[in-house]
Order: sequence, then C-alpha cells, then structure tokens
Amino acid sequence: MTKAITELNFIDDILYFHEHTWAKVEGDLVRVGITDFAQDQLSNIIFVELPNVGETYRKGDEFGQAESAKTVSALYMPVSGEIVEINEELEEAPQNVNEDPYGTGWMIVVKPGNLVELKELLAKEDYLNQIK
Amino acid sequence: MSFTIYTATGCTRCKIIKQLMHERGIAFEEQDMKAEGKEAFQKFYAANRKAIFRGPDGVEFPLLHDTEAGNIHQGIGACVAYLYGGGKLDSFFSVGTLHKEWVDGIHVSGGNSEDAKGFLEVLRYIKKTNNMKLQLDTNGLNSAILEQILAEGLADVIIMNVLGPKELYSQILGKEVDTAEIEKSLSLVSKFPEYKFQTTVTPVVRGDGEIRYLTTKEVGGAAKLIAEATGSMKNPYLIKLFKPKECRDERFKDIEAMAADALLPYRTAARAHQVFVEIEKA
Amino acid sequence: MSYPTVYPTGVTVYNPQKAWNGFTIFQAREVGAMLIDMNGTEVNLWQGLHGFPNKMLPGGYVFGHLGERNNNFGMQDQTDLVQVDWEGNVVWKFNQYEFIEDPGEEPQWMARQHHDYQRQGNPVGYYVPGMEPLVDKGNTLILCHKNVRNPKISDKLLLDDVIIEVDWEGNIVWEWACNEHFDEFGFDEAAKNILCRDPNMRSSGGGMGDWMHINSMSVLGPNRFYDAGDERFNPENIIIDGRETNIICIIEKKTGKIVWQLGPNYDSSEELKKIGWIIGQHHAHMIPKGLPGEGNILIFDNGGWAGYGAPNPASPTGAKNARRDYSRVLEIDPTTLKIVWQYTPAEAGFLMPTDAERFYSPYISSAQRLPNGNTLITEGSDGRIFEVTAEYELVWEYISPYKGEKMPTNMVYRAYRLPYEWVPQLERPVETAIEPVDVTTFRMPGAAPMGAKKTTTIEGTRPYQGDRALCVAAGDEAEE
Repeated sequence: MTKAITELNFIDDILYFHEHTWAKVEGDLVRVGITDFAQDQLSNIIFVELPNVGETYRKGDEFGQAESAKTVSALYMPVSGEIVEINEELEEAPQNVNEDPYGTGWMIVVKPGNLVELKELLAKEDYLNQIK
Repeated sequence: MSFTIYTATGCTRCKIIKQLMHERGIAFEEQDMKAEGKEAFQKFYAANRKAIFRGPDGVEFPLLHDTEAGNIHQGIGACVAYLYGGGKLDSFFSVGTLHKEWVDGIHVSGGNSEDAKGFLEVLRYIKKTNNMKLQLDTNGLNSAILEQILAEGLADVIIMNVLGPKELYSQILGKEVDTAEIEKSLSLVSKFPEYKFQTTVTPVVRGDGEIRYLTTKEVGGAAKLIAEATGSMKNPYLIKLFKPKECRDERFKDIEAMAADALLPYRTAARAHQVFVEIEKA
Repeated sequence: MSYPTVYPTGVTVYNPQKAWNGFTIFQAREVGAMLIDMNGTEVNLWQGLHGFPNKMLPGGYVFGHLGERNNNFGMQDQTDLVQVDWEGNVVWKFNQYEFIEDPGEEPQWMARQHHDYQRQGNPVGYYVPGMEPLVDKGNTLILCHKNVRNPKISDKLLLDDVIIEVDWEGNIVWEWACNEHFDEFGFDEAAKNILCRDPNMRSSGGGMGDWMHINSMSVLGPNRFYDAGDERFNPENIIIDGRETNIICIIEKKTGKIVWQLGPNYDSSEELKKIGWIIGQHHAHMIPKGLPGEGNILIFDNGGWAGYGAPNPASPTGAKNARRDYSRVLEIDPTTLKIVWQYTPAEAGFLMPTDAERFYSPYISSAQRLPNGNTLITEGSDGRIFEVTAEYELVWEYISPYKGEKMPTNMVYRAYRLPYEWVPQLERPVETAIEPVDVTTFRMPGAAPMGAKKTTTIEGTRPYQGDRALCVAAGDEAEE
C-alpha cells in the first residue's frame, strides 16, 4: 500500500526533478537520489542498477534503474554531467533507498555540465503540486 | 540436492510446490520475500537478476533454487517439472503470465517426445491433483503427446502457433519437420473444447540470405493449411505482430517492427480460408 | 412537420429562378432508389436497390445496397455497398467485412454497412465544384457495424461503429473502431453510469447496445483552418456524429485520436451554452471548400430524445436525458463555435415555441449546402425534402408519396441534389415553376369557400391583441 502524500517526507534543502529524482548541491558537485514519493511507489526495492563512474549523461537521460518485486523504474538525471561517485553500499543494502531516500539511499554524485539546469528544477512546493 | 524456495506470502503456487517437496521428502529452506526472507531474497535477486523472469506484474513466484546444481526454476510448471524430471522436462515449460487458477507457459512441442510420460505426469499433478486450469501451446510438433492430452482432458485451453504455410514450416522452425505431423496437430487442436490458432507475422531467413517478413500470401497459405487439416474455414484464428524487442533470436533483433495497420492486408489474405480471422491490436 | 389529414405529395413549391436546379436522389420507402427532377418527374427508379443512403456519382451511377440483414439478428446492417450504373449493372461491390451465419439464413459475407460511406475524390458525397468522386477507381470509406465487448463501457454486448477504408479491389487498408476511443470522449460519471446500465439496448440478435449510433461519416477535405496551420483540420481527417451521445467529433486519420469535439455536454462553456443542447443530430459534416460557408460544420440538430446523463423528470434513468420537440439546422464555425447560420422553426416562420414542432424530425434527416448558397434539407420523418435560400425563403419542396407497407411511414433518410451533368443519359429537363397554393382559398370538392353569408355586428367589441397572452409564453415574450 502506498502512503498519502501528507505521510511522506519532503525536505527543503534539495531541488526536485519532475521525474522524481532530487539534486543536492554540494560545492561544485551535485548529489542525486529518488524522492520519498518515488521510493514509496516502488515499495521494497531489491536492486538498484547504477552507472559507472566516468560516464556522462544529459539531463532527463536514464542513468539506471530501481527494481522491486513488482516493478522496475527507470532513474532519470536531474542535471547533465559526469558521474564522479556512485553509492556502492546500495548493492548490498538497496533497502537504504526505502529507509532513507535523502540520506544513505543517495545514488550518484554528478559533476554538473551546465549550472543553468539547476535553476530549472522544482522547489519542494512545486514538486508537491505535481504529485498531488 | 539442496533447495531454497523463494516465496511470497499468500502465494498459492508456492504452497503447491512446498507440498510436493513434503510429499517427496525433499528438504528445503523457505525464504518469504514479504516476511523474514526479505533480505535473503534481496541478495538472491541481486546475484541472479539476469536469470529471473519478470512478467507484467513483476517477479513471478515461486523461485526454486537448487543450490547444489546451481540452477533456478521459476513458476509452478517449471518447478513441478524439475522436481519430477530433474531437468530433462525443462524445455516443456517457461514462466507463465496468467494468474489465479490459470497456468500457462506449457509448451507441448517444446521438449523431447521421449519424455512424454514425465511431461504428462506433471500436467496431471498440476491439473488433477491441484485443480489448476491449464493453457497449453504447441507449434504442431509432438502430436502424439497432444493426442494423449486430448484423451485425458489435460488442457482447458490450447493455442496452436501455426508458424507459416506448409512449404515454409521447416525453414521457420529451423529443423526438418514432417508436415503430416503438423496437420495431425491442427486436426487434434480443433477438437479441444477451447482452442485458438495463431500466426505471428515473423521474419524469415530467405533463400537469398535476406531476412523478410512472412508475406500476405504466405499467411494466406497458413490459413489454408488450417482449413485443409481441420476441414473448417471457421476456426478461431488470430494474426499477431512480431515484436523485435522481445525477440531472443539475435538475427531478428534489429528488424524494423511492422505497424499494427500493416496487418490489415494479412487479414484479407487469410480470410479467404479462415473467415473468422482477427488481427492483433497494437 | 405536422400534416393535416389531407395534403398534396410530390413537388408542392418550385421557384426555378432561386432554386439550385438539378436532380434529387432519395430512397423511396420500400420501393428503391428514386431519381427525380425539379418537378418531381421520376426519371429513373433503381427498383429494390436499398439506400442507406443512396448517393449518385458522375456518369449516372448510383450507390446502394442489394439487401439488409434480417432484423432479427442485425441492427440496420446492410449486406453490402454497391455501385450500380444507369442500367442497373453492379460495377463495384464490397461485402467482405464479416462472415455472418444467422439461424435460418444462408451463411454469407456482409459489409454490415450503415448510415454512410464516401468515395475518394469527394469528401462528403455530394456535389462540390472541382471535387468529383472517382467512378472507376479509388478508395471508399465505409461506416460498418461490429459486435464487441468492452467492460469499460458496459458488461453488455455492444453494437460498435467501425470505419473501414477499402481499396478498389476490396482490400481493407485502414480501420477505426469507436469503442477503442471511449476514454477520449469525456463522459462524466452520470453518463458512464447510465451507459453501463443501458447502452441503448436494442432487441436484434438477442440484445445489443447501440451505444454511440454514428449516423454520419465524411472527410474534411481541404479547408481554410488547415491552410492556416491548424492540424486538427487535416484534410484527410474524418468527422462523425453519434446520435445517442450527442457527440460530433473529428478523428485524426493518422492516429485515430479524437482531435476536435462538440458534446456530449453543451453547458461547460459560454460558447456551448449559446449553441444550446444539440440532440440526436444527423449528417454533421464540414462544408467543403468551394461551397458557400466552406469550413463551417453543417448539422441537422434533430431534437427528439438522446444522450446519457443525470436523471431528470423527462428521463427517470438518465437515458436519453436531453429532449426537445423541434429541429434546427445549424452552421457552426468549428474554431469559434459561433453559429454562422441557422434554420429553425423561427426562420421557417413558425410561432416559437407553440408551433415549433412544425419543423421537427426526431430521427434521420440531413442538410446539404448547394453552390448558390441554398440549403437542401431532408426533414426525414415526414418525407419532406425542401430547399431554402440563405434568407430562409422556401424555393422547392417535395413530399414523398412513398409510404411503406411493412413500415407505415413515408420517411426519407437522406436526399441529395446533384447537377444535371452527372446524368449524361438524360436531356436537361423542362423546369416549370410551381407557385405556392393559397391555402386560404384552396378547397376540396364539395367544401365551401371562405366568406360569411351573413355578418353580424355587435356594438362595443374591442380590437384583438397580439400573441402576448397565450396560455404559454410565445413569440417575442418567449425569447425575452
């Protein structure tokens, strides 16, 4: 059973992409994961397929997928850029995405290619409006 | 042998497999992915995801892992077959996508005719002992097994994939077949209480080495073959689109998909011999 | 039109100067395809050729059907669509849509055609300068029936409308099924509720829901909206209307999607409210380029009873929940939704609403735009075919004398006017004017003329008032 939106957690210090990923600016890098809404829709995540460090993707590209027993969901880049780090812990502990999507459930760190794209991302309220 | 069965809480098919293992005194470990086995399933899945089938509703259960032999069987049919036949019945089964009381993914023509006895036992166990309903399919090979299935009432629905016209049958199948065998199956299929013929407009490697789809005339020929073998122009018959993306044959993966509208002339051609022919919607 | 017991049939009014002169083709009830000239002379009868409808082609060809499926099993299914020459030879035929085995009937192929069809070369099936339908080649769009099940609509067996395009050889090259687009029509919950319970169940074949009842299907053809870049009006797109749902819509030929729509509701915007509820309409089509009013949608808005929606006193279940006891011919700009021209009981000269039912056909009927701006209207239920000018003047009128025996009505489904040139086999007929009879002096033999033998006066009588105090509001008062 999925939760009501009011039961989900949306934090303030990240930017949201309409394809249900988030981006957090950390110096000149961007950390990326999926939102609480997305993990709730997927339910128990049993595997997260992540890209290789060094690969480059454009905004909106599929960079990997999250799999639960019932569905497979593509993961989409909120910004363009090069993958500089991936969360290797997810291989052993994909449940981190369910338990802490904004913390230990992070997925990749990107070196953004175009900072203007960050401005196109949604603030918490706009994202909430979209999923209502 | 040493078995682990991955199940989902409330999964009837999983219970049937566990029951069979109990009956046969086979020891096994159970991991319920919705309960205490969540973590174990996650690990198993991560390690074997390429070998695990996902249908439209996600991962199909049960998953039976023979840890010693290092193989995996998925779905009720394949699991029963493995426990009965230890591998040699494998090619009669694949993971089905039907639910509730229905079981599919059972291919009469998939295995070796010498293994008929074991195959029929599996069907009896699923249908007669456990009251499931069976949807079988065939391409016409193993007509003797089909005859036995008809005699024993082991199929609730049978679908026959009529691969093409007589003259192309061996070529499409990739091995020499006696078309009398195919004709016998066609005739048998039409005697089942519920049946359907279907033809996929498939790519064929032609004599000149080029790959081209079955032509309208050839599908008309398939319809004619059905009419001649069954003595009826009024069989349920469906013409299907070939889906390159779902194809496992490397030769055909890159062929351009046909538009759904392109099936219309195929229907016209087949209608001359099978008046109730329908075409698959996109 | 409510007729008195005695009334003339045949041509009753004819003004050769103002009418657009030509032949008129229609289906004479239970007789055949009838071609008449402006004075009503029956110049060719294709006996027994069914017509749902009949249409003419240049060269003296006529479209029709060899038969209709037994009504016990089929609803309005014509067995085929045939093109017949002047002498009655079948020169083209299509029937291979469905193989039918009805109890007690010969198993056979049937087109299951109904209501409409269009031959390539002309978008609407009537005369348009420079857009002649092909007579010896080309594709034909045919509106057909197919029985389907679709739990989204109802658990009952549905009689669905299907449009097919067949080539000259009879191969089906395109197909569109209405039920597959149910989600696109925008029915509200009240409509879905009654549609599910009663999708207009008819008794044929043990019961089937004629849920949409498409009665018109034509091509848009070249038009000014597409020329200006509006893709919704791509010339190859198809416009249909559904009698039971009050929907008029355009199907994109390429994708099959609905790209423009009027109805099912007419109260959701100011523009729609101004149009008012279109009910049980027929023959909604785009006036082809080259005719006055080109690009506008011409509709015979029957009134009567149709639609699915919330129950009301006139419809306790919500079935056929919209009602009106008069008809309207509307010409609507499809982009602004403004009514550009109309012919309603008011334009016909009847007192509204008390005499409104004198222009009324609750089913069938049509409107054809003529090259001089006149409109040929089939007020079908009473077999009245008439022509009016843009200023609403009646310049030709014909009442069909053909009353059926199996069905006691002189109904005419749809009549078409065609130019003399389309029938090269005939000399141009003599056109004799028929002045409207003065009904105040017209008498049956034995009936006395008007005029009192004795006039008695009473002192103190006052002048008569107008219409402002009838039992119901009427005329100017009703419009306020």
